[in-house]
Amino acid sequence: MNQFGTIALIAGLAFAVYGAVVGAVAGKLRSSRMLKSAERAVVAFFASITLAIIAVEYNLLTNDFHSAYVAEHSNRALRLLYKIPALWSGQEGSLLFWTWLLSIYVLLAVLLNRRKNRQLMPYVISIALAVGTFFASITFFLANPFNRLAETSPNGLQPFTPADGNGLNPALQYHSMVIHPPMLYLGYVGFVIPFAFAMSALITRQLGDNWIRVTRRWTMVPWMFLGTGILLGANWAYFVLGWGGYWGWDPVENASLLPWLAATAFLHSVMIQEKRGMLKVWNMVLIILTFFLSIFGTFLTRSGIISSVHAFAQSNIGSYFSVFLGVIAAFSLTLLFLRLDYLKSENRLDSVISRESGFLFNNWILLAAVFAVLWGTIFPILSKAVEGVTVTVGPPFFDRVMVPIGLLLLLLTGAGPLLAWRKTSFQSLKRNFTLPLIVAAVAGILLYVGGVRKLDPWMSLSLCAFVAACVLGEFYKGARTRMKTAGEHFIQALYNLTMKNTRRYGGYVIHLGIVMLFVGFSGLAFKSETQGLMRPGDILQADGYLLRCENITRGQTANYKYTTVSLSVTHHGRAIGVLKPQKRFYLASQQPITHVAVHPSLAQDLYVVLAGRDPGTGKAVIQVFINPLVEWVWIGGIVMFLGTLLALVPSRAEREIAEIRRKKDLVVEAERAG
Amino acid sequence: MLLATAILLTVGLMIYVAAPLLAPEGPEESVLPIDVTLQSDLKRRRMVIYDNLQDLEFEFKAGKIAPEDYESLRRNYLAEAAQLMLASQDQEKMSEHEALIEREVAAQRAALRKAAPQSYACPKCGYENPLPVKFCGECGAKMPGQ
Amino acid sequence: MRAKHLILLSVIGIALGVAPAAKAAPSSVTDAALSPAQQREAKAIGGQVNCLCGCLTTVNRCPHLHCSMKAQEKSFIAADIKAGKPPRTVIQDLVLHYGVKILPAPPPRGFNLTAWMLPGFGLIVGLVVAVDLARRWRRHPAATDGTNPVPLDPKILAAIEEERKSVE
Repeated sequence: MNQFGTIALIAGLAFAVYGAVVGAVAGKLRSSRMLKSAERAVVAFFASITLAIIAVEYNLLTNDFHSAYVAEHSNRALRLLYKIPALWSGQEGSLLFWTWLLSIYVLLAVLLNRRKNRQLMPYVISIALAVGTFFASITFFLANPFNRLAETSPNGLQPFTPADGNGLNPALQYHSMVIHPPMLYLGYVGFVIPFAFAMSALITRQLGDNWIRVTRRWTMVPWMFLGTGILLGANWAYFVLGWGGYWGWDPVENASLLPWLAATAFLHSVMIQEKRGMLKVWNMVLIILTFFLSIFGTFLTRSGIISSVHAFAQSNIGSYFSVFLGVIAAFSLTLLFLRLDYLKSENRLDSVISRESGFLFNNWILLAAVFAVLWGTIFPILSKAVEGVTVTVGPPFFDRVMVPIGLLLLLLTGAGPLLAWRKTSFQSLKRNFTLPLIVAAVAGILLYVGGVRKLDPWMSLSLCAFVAACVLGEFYKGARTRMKTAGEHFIQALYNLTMKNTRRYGGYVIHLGIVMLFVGFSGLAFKSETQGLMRPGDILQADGYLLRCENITRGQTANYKYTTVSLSVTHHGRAIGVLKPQKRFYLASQQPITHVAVHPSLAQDLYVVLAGRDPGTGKAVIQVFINPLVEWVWIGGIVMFLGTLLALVPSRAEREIAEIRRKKDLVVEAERAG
Repeated sequence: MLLATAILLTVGLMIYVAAPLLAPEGPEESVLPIDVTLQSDLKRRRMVIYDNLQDLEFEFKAGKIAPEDYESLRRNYLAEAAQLMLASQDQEKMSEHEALIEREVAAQRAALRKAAPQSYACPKCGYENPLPVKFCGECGAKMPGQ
Repeated sequence: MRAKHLILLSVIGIALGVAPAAKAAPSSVTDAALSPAQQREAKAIGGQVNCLCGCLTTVNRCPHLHCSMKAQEKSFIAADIKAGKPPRTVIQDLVLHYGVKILPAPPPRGFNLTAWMLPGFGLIVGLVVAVDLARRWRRHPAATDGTNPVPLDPKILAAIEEERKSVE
């Protein structure tokens, strides 16, 4: 299967090169049949890379340890569920997977634009496949998943097949880890398409807002995947790493946050261009930045230039990535510079207090966040270069810097949508802000009385109340107006309101999700931690919880040895069940891993870790964390996901336009057919 | 066996990709259609303003916007739409003018083409004048017609 | 596999680089030798310094079961506390011993000060740019004037109304 895969990979590389070249020529000559051929090259690229993926999966599933990749990332005892994701657990497989997802995105772009954007498509294909060429060649030349093991023997180099593999990194043998990397990659990779459309619009000088409307959806989808991927990663960290938290400002976590923040800025400022024809150059800059950061993120993750808990990739591909990043920046910025004349603003700003400037400030904060995170992430490299001293830039730095930025952003999340386009007079401001401000003030007082005395969480939670009031107020006011004008009852009005402008109300739902995220973040200030040594019969007390050790069991599966402690738990005298934290020792990789036991509730999580065995007494070391409000992070994530899906549903008007276009196509086809 | 399959599949894909280049092409398919014309762009921009207006009216009804703001914003949007409408109408007139000019040019050309077989030979000396002239270029005699 | 290498590497690194210094520290002191109040103090310090085993978290959060680096740092802290040093001094001792990288964030001095200053600086520069942009926009000589709109031709208005109706 290795030969099969190698041929498929070479073919994929060849089709990518062909498509990139022919696409560009088709655009230059405006040749319809060359475009057709380029489109087919996209199909062929997808088909070839798919075959290569099948080859790797086949190797993994059949335990072909002659393959270096399989020997390193799988073993016989590995559960089937984890053999498939072993594809993206290592460098070679990840890069191939990246390439494959890229081929899917390009294929979708081609299929969905068979009739539309005919002038843009040749260059879109060309640019996307140029990126595809880079990743396919990195995979083929530098990180080939089809390399075979060999050993030196007296007869020269001989093929070598070990009896069993090294196994999958045990930290990755967890269910959210199965979907976390694909989600994250779907996010990273997907930004290729909006970038390709933007560049294509620049090349063809078609800089009306056609490209913006096309690109918006193509940005929203990867944005959604990236956000979900980040939260799934946080979820994995929370349940597997066992230090009681979910976000550690690790370089690789930061790397995924950067394009997400930039894309968030883009998704907002796009609206100004659509509605008011302003910020055209800025939007180009943002989409270039988003794509650049997504490749930069891949580079950080894959090259291992910055050490990280995700230290899964130390390799020589870093320099190639640096060159590629340089090419992207030089190409896109030069092109942008050459087309500046075509990107004049159509309108002017009427007032500083307006939705437009609200978006402007939103962009300012988001970009400041990008800058701060980027700076903190690369500072260790700078410090090493300048002073020769390695420093660590960790959570204290990011907490200090990002909390004020986050709070400002939260404020805008609520205030922005209440500002009217063009200008908002004091009268209008008073109408919209009175109620949310009262709600925030009441919440602030109640929180203070209720014992929230630390400044950061107090501000954060009060702001959450403010934003929730703003957003829910929007829904309520809208529904009430429909009730009056269309005579609908409340639920019906709410439904029609939302479906009529899915984008706006989907956006509001996402804002509610953000509120929930911040509620969850605020809980971090109140977490507490207890540790105790336990043997059966012992009791540990932690902040209203009583944990009684029932028994300690040890055992072994084919893949790992484990120790499980059964703890029956009561909260203020009420029994809430049995928690079973576990410690596993994986045999193939000789690594220990904790499996945390959590009793979740909306108010707080009881989070219990079996840290190990005390060498002196032989008792189990039990760590107990009380993590207030953590569940809101996951709930917020789900709400944001659903909100994005809602925003992606075509609104009524869009569906009608699509219908008209479809009919027109039918007429044209009928005419052609004679 | 596997190797042969892989090669066969690749060759198949290559043929699939190259096919459009080798096939004869129909005339109407040779050039990529234009995505956005000036007229459609103007119309699209008006549609955006109508959307904005509709939003504005809705927000006003929802009580989000003070009456003074509403009035002035509405007028602004209408003014923008009016400008785009004017541009659109100008464009239409322009294209009408252009069409008219095109038609006239075509008519002239047709007339010329009809006139072409008729010669400018001088009835007196028989010299073939290269252009329609009032007097013969050779002998100076008055030419008929014109 | 790689994680193992990393740990191995860092252990070697520690053995080569830090071992001579570590020898100087009394390594036999454990938490058990401290009073409960001192234990809490030690724990608090453990949350403020990195474990240098390669796990990239603080000593308290290091996930490794039998981490020699963690144990070494813990006993260092315990020894200092037992000697009656205040937490600030303990951390200073740790920095002297293991280098600046033991702090989870760079100290705000010298070149490292830029780490702290630049994000704030960026925020301010961004604000200046945004405000300047907003100002320039207001002067932008584009389509319509927001303050005194031109009188509208009723014929055009009628055409607009007609078009609006046709699309709704």
